[in-house]
Amino acid sequence: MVTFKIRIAETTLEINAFNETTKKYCGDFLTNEEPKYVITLTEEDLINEVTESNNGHVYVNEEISALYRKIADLLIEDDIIVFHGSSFKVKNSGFIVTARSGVGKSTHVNLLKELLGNDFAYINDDKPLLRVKDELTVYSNPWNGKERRGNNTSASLKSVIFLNRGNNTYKKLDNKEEVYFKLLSQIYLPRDKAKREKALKLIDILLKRLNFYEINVNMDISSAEMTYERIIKNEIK
Amino acid sequence: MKLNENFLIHQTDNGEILIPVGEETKRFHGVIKLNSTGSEIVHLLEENDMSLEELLNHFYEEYPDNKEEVKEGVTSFINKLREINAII
Repeated sequence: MVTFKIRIAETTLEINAFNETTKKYCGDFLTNEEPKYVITLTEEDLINEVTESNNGHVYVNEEISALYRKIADLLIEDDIIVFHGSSFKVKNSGFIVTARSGVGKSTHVNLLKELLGNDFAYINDDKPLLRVKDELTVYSNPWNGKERRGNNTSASLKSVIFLNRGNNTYKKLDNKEEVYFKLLSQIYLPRDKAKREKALKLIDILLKRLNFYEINVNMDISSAEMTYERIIKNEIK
Repeated sequence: MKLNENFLIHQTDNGEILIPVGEETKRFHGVIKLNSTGSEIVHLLEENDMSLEELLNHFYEEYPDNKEEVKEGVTSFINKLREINAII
């Protein structure tokens, strides 16, 4: 067993894992602080992860994926949910761009980085954590996608942007019912009944408090210009 | 028949949804949006063990002039619930 501590979303966790690679993966998030929670991976977690991963993406190996699932199941108790999306901040205001896998959210966000230079900073390019309390805060963590784009940072979340391919159009989504079902498919819902119910309640809060947009973009720098001019610029005022 | 305990009814601002939990999440990955009759049915089956006939009689009392429509709607919804294992 390898024991180490990480600090994510202002919460310190002690991790008991099987492989040194898992500790290494957590890199920037390692800490010596006293843990609030202890997570111990079991053989069963790894076996279950093989089945789970048939429905989605595996992070490096089953152990690293299984660990994040356990963390997500635990942090829901602290009003924290896992979002599938690319998160970044512009002048300390946080945004999440989300889409079905393979549509191009990471490409679009990377174009925003190119456009905005030093005003832009990645939070987490794949699975940011979102604390739904008085403030809505988006946090980074080590599970930041294949390209490992992310920083150990956080920001107050201003809006969620749903991305599709298209010819650079955008709209604010005022139909909350439509947004609700879009959100359900992009937020991790624990299997446990009480925890899943909690996640659904947190989604209800998000729906009331955030602005939502839909963008239909090509993968050209002009699409990033549109997202910045039409959405981000207004949200950071 | 009763509502499977591994299904959760959740109230949203735009009506209720029915969503699997626990082991049922492995079989059914979706969410069912409930209209007012759908909500009434799942709540009845959450609280009571009822046959299709008892359920139909309940709605016939509510809508005595639309028995055919009620039968078609309720039966079709019950079949959908059976399909996803939401009722046992």
